[in-house]
Amino acid sequence: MVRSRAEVGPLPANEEDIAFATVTQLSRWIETKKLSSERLTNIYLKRLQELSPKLRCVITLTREHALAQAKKADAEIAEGKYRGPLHGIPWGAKDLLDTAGIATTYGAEPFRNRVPKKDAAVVKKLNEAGAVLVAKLSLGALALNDIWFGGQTMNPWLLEEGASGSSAGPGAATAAGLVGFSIGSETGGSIVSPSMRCGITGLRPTYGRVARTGAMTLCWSLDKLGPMTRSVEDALLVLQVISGPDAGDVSSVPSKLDFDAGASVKGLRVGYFPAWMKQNPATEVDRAALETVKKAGMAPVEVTLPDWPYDSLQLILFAEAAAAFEELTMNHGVDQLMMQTYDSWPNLFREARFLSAVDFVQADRMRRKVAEELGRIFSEVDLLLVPSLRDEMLTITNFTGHPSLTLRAGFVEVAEARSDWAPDPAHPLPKFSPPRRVPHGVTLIGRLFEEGTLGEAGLALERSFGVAEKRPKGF
Amino acid sequence: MVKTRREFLAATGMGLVGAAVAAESAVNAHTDGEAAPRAGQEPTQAPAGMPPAFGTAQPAGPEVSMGTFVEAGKLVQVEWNKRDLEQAAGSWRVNMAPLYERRVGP
Repeated sequence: MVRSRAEVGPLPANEEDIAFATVTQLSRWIETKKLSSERLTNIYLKRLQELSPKLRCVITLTREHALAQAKKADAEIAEGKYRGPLHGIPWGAKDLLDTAGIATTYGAEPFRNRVPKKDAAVVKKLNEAGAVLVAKLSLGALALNDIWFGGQTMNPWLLEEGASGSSAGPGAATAAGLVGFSIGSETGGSIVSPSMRCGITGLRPTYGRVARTGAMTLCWSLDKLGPMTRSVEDALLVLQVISGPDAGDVSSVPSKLDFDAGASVKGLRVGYFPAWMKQNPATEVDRAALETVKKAGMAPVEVTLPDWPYDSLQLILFAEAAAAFEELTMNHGVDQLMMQTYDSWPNLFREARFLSAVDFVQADRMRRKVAEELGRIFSEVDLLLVPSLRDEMLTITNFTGHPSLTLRAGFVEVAEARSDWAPDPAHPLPKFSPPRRVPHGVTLIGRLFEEGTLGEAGLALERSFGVAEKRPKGF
Repeated sequence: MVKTRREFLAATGMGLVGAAVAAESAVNAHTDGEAAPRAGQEPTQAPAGMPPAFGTAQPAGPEVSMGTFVEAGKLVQVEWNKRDLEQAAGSWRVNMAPLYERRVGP
């Protein structure tokens, strides 16, 4: 793992500029004592206090805990004990990561008063790296979409629409410069979608790279924890710290991360699906990204997938989620959830009771065939470039466990708010005239455990796109 | 030959338009009050960045009713109240039935 050596420049005079800096920059300023962790923590705490009500992205502000961690970080750094790039950096946790003595609510009414005794494995690793927890961030209740018991988390770029989910709080808070970075989770799109909507960088690691001990279980065979940041390099810096096995998660395994911020990407073979680039949800930004791939010296390669019913794999997701929350369903605890629409968990958990075991097994067998297909594709290319919300690829790669990196690639105009929920004629989505300008991202998919290659390609694209530093107005 | 969702999408060329149309169709197919899926919006071009959503698939499989779930509940030994049964009956064809598309797949 090699951090970029580029000069990060002087510490800005303006607190807002400091708040929106990347972890790469913040860490250099902290390491060279131009900025103290306590000052940085106070900047983020103030912004969280003042700005989070606009976004409804904070469930618990951890002020005292954060200030104590920041003071400890400053003392260690003063003694010459610098732990690495996350030392003294304030971060926010999706509120499905257990934090000892701090409420961890899953964004869901039945768990509002749940206070765990132990830290999740990821929280422990971040503590050991000297990072400073400033907030428990919102998620759609039980990791679905962006509505929790405090309301809907909103998109800082367009306050009339949700932030998307389920890592809604991490998406909104990171985009609005309220934290240095955040940790989200994904089962079927929960890092990719809010990263897209909020215009940040989301890294969904290979299944098994990051231990999930102490994280809410939605689906044992699908859940992944990953960084949500304001730059590609930041995502890799965070990933390095949170990677690694834990005895509490039997699916977690040792892995290495080969990432060099200065590595050449020339000659990397980037697969793409020609038809997908022409169809919704691809936009001009996606098509321009393919051109940028060429300009960066990488080689686009056309690839194909068999025309299979990939959505059928979701049977596994519904069955696992219903099993994870079986007790809550059977004792009618799900009745307490705010969302009781036909497309929300309570109804889906109940309906999943009627899926058959035979079909589950067949879906699992199909999952293996799909993994073999992706293996074939990755024997031809080094990575894939896809429209971030192409549903086949979101489904496929979540079920095969391949890593993804979503990054801002440009801006598009929208004449209507976007939503994670099925259309509701009683509550039509706001329309905009003139249309509003919002960020749009693309997604790279990598080989299993090759997040380093994803990062190197992503960094090259991020530099070429030149849009990562733009900020939402009002923050 | 069953028309799969993929063929449907290929025919429209726009997955999320498909979703909107599907939801509207679902309402037409289920008129049992509050449990029915909500009607889709106008089938216009979906805005960029609209993600896939649960409950927006094209309705699939045979019609079902509350009675279907009452009887099936005996098999899997669960009992839901009237409200839950209504909701399940009204949404099964867009939530779960499309998952059986695998049977026409590989």
